[in-house]
Amino acid sequence: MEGETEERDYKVLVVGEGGCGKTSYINQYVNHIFSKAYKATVGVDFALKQVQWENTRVRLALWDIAGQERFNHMTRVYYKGAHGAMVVFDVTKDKTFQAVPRWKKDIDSNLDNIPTVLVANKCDLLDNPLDTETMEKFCAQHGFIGWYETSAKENIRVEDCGTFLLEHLVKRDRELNPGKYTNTEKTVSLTQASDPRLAAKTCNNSC
Amino acid sequence: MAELQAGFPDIMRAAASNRTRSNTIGARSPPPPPVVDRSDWAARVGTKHKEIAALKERIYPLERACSFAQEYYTDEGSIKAEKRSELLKEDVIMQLIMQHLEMEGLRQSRKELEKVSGRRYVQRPELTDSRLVTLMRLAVKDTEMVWDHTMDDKFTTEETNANDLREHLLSLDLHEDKTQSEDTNIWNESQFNFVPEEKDPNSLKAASLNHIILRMTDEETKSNLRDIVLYTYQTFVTPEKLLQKLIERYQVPAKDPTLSKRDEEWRVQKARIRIQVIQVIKSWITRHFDDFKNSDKLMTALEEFIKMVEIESKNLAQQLTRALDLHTGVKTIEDSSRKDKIPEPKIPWKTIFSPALTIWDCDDEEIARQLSIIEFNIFSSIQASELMNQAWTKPRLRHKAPNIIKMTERSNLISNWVAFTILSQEKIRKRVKAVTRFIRIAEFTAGMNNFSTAMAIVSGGLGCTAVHKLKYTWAELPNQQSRTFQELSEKLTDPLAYRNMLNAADQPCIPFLGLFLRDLVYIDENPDTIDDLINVNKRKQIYDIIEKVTRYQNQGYSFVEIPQIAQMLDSKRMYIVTEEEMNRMSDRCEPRNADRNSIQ
Repeated sequence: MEGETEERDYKVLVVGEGGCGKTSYINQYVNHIFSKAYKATVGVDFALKQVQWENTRVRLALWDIAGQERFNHMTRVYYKGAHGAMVVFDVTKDKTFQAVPRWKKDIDSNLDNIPTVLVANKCDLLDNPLDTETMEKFCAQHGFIGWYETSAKENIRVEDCGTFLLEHLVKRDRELNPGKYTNTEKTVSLTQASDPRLAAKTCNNSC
Repeated sequence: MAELQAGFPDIMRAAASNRTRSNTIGARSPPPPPVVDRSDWAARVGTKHKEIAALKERIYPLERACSFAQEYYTDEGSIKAEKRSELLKEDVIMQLIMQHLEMEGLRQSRKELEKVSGRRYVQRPELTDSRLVTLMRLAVKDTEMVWDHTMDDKFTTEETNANDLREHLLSLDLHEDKTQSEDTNIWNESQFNFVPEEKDPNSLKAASLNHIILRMTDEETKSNLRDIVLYTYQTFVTPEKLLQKLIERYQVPAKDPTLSKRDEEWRVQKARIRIQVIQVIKSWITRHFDDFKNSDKLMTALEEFIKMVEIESKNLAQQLTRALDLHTGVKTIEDSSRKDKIPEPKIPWKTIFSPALTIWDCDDEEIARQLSIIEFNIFSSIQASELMNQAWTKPRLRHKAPNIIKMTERSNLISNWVAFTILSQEKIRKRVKAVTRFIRIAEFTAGMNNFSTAMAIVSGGLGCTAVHKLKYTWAELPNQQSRTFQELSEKLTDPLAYRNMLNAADQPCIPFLGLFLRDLVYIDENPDTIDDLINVNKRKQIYDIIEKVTRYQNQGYSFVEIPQIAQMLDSKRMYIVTEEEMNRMSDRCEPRNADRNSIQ
């Protein structure tokens, strides 16, 4: 297997109340390729990010329910086959934090225990950081693997948070598919349900 | 309300020292102590009792009004001195209340109030309405704008917010104008304040406000810049300012480097520019009359402008007054009945007038038709302004997108109704029948290009967890129905397949609104300005979506409304159950690990 590169595709959901900066967060994470390449006539159904992880080339497909949060049934469409998730809230808006448990519960009832990270976005607007103890307790209580204070606007810890989730995705994948991991065969095909050309195009732009 | 939010600020305000990076919960963390954590009780209450969450949201504007008033009241200097003494005189308020009681015919209460307060009621027979109600209505209208301007969102900077607020308070005559905003007259600006589109040098990528006005009043403009600006200007300029700029453009100076020095040519140029300006304002009035209806200040400015135009040209002024007179504010929905034959309604004659009429008595296609009529009525009332600034996602702006909210609520309601109707059938035979019928109804709605309702039935109703896990019900579904469901589900929920289907569909058609909303959120990722110039390209993208939505609004269905059936499908008659309750119902129908024989 030495010298060979494996490929892995992971679908990651990005959920949270409307207006808490999910789309900006994804946009920042994929280096603005998404806003530049976006044409409403074509439509982008997910944003792709390529990451090298040890000897594996990982492609993260970030699915965003932006704008459609209020359609209850849209979540089910997006949740299908996801490997990991981020629940985003806006640190300046209480309401978006109060909604976090509901989003987490929603993920848990549709998917089987996927790694989920809590993203406290817009931290550039806070004078003081959030209280670590309280946040950790909150994470433990609701089953988050961890939390990050981020700012999509100022690009603070956006990359760190993604790497952290990725680490857990790979770990879980290895646990679930111990034999398969060293195999070059793909376990998941992201492009199956979508236009492969579009995915490839977005990917090329990001490389 | 204060207690409801108690949990959160603790976390927000608590400052943790010496922490630069977020920590993660690992195996080393000690197990949580057995204390009851109340940090998110409000959220839990909200999730469990949707009505409390809804109530809380509705009270929010009031809360905000109180805090705003407190904030503003402390800064007494900013309210005009004579206005302050005018406000809140007790006698005036008492008179208003008494007049209101009188109008309502509650004379006894009015007399009682007179006695208790020791104030004599002054009769004003010339008043034919309750002044209290009228004034409150006006106050709500004015304060809504104040809220808009004090809101924090990423689309406006604090500075522009403060400016807009000042301007609004000025218009209410509550604020003293101390600063004169700096502004370059359109005729004094250099002509090069713009960046052309790379691929198409004739269209604008970004430009200054003056340059945009210049281009949209230019005869040679072939692009749809006028439409783009008239539909989206509220994202970069106030209506008052836009009119002011157009008026500036109308006032062609005697000497300008862009104009001819020869008197005769100059006259021709001037006349041409003026005609263009009048045409822009005319389409503004004709197609966006609400802008004028909602702002007395704008209307007054327009009327003054018309008076000014009249002095020089009766003809041009008449074009505007006619546009104003003709305007009804009602969108004309093309009557498709002229083209298509109206299909014969399918009426269950035996039961139609019976109070015991249920949807099971009606034909599936007819139900789909009635659902489509209702859906189109909501969809066609969505205004272009509702699609701006992601208003539907923001609690404080949501009042600006009432029909988008109605559309999403209707969608959720239909999903809920479908699931509940299936789950309330106790016998499996009946559940199979219900599922079969809803698949057929969904198929009919999709066939009518009503993708909005089809999506709500397929993805929200039949596809929800509680219905989805009824494995015996699904197993006993006829093969053909099962296939239809798979196909429909694929076509509607795979974004690419859906877009292809939508592009191929004829009108009338009701698209699934969610996808447009997402497009708008993505478009909003682009900056509002590029090097201090207005990002015109972004507004063009927004306009493209608005144009699509309005195109579908133009043609309605030619079905005949059958009130008895429509009433059954009305939102008010649809029953709301929580997801937990639906899951419980599902478990009662088909308990986990139950074998087929034990199910009725």
